[in-house]
Amino acid sequence: MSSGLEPEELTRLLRAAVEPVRASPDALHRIRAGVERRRWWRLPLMATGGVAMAALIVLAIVAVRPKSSNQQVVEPAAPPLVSSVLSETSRPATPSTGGSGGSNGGNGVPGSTRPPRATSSPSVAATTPPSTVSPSSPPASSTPGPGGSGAADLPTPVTRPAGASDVDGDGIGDQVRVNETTSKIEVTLSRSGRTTSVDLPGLQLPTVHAVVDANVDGFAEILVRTATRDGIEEYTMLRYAARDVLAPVTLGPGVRLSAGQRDNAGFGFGCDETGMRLVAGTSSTVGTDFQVVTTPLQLTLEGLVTAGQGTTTQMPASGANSQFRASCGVFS
Amino acid sequence: MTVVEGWRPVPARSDAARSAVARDADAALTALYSEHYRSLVRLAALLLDDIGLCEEVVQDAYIRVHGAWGRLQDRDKALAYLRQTVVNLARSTLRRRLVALKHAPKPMPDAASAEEGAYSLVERAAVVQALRELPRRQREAVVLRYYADMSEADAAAVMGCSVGSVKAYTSRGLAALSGKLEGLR
Repeated sequence: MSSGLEPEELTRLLRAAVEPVRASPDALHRIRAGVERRRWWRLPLMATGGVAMAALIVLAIVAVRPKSSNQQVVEPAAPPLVSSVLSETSRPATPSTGGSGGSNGGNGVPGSTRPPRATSSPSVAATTPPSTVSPSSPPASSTPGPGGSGAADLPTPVTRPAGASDVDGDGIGDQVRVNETTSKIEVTLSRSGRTTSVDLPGLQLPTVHAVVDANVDGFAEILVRTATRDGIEEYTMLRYAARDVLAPVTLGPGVRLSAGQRDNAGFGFGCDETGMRLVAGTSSTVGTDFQVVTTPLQLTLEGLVTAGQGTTTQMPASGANSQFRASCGVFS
Repeated sequence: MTVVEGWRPVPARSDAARSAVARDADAALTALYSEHYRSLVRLAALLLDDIGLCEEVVQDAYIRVHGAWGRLQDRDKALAYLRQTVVNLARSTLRRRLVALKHAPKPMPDAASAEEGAYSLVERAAVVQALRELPRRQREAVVLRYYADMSEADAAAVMGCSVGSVKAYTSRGLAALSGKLEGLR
């Protein structure tokens, strides 16, 4: 080290400097008294701290607790989108009988979101004039009722079946027209006054269409002839899917909206107050008896699907011809 | 306060375990007192200028160590913690002069014989006066290194600084003391 003071010498000086320092005789006693004092202070301090912490927790809970429910607007969960279900309890067994025989089909497709109409609905619908308005179901109501739309956006229909050209179920007929220039079906809805349209690419002109409540749910569907090939007419169906929304109906497996006869095969479909049905007939040779299968249809979320097994009827060619046509509403 | 290695958070203990720790702390307190109390008071005396305050600081350090005994993971480091606490309390005392007459009348330390005491007091006065004129950090470094015989690493731990800083403080402090104590050698 460059300085003159060596570390050993400094150590000696420091120790010598503090050599006179002696511990006081009662130092240990003082320390123990301090320990005891600290111990006794600790208890109330800890208790006070605990109380303060509990109060803070309570205040925090009160602060973050959500407001009471009456101050909040709770939106109800929207039910799934519409599907129409035709009642099958009074579906006719065969078209030839024309009566209201027992159903040959099942009791509706599982998973269908729209409950089937009550069994008394057809008779009620048959006896109730279309202009009758349900007092408990105002036109603007969105509450889905039995046999109603079943969709959150669909209002409750005024009558079942729907009145003439009443696509939106408000009891007033809507303007339905085919725009041949743009190949669109345009509907002016009386409920909102708005015009909605659906594209029909490949629409073969001239065409015809019918507006009819095919599944008796209070909303009229639109059947449009889209093409005619080899004596067979092809049709498509449009329905009121939501407020101001018109949508084409998807055809389920084995369902084809066709009408006509070619060679020894014939196709058709029809609807009445009991619902919709599909007709398909075959004959072994041209001009002989036809074996006609009539299958009930229902409109579900998935589209237009068969509802149960069809009934088979043997009928002469002359009688079968009347089955092989689109007998659902009035086409124009 | 600088934290000494070996401390850990207080785990939840049962009453029996707490009693055992308290008994252990009482026994350790007595042992630490008999072995190190005087040296710690002398250490404090070099850092402070009042014997009464020195004792108070050391007693307070003992009380704190006793209260924290349950959190001391390595009991062998109790002396290190005591030293660190003494240094920190001395700093606080010098800085704020708050530790004053907390307890009842402070007794004077046991005095040496008149002749010895007179000589020692003269020498002490000279070296201690020179020490007090040093900056606080330098004074602490010199005292810890040359009075307490601590290594640079231990001194750095107690002072809460790096070993390099301790070297620098010590070197500067020693050089300054050399000039001040030239006449005594």
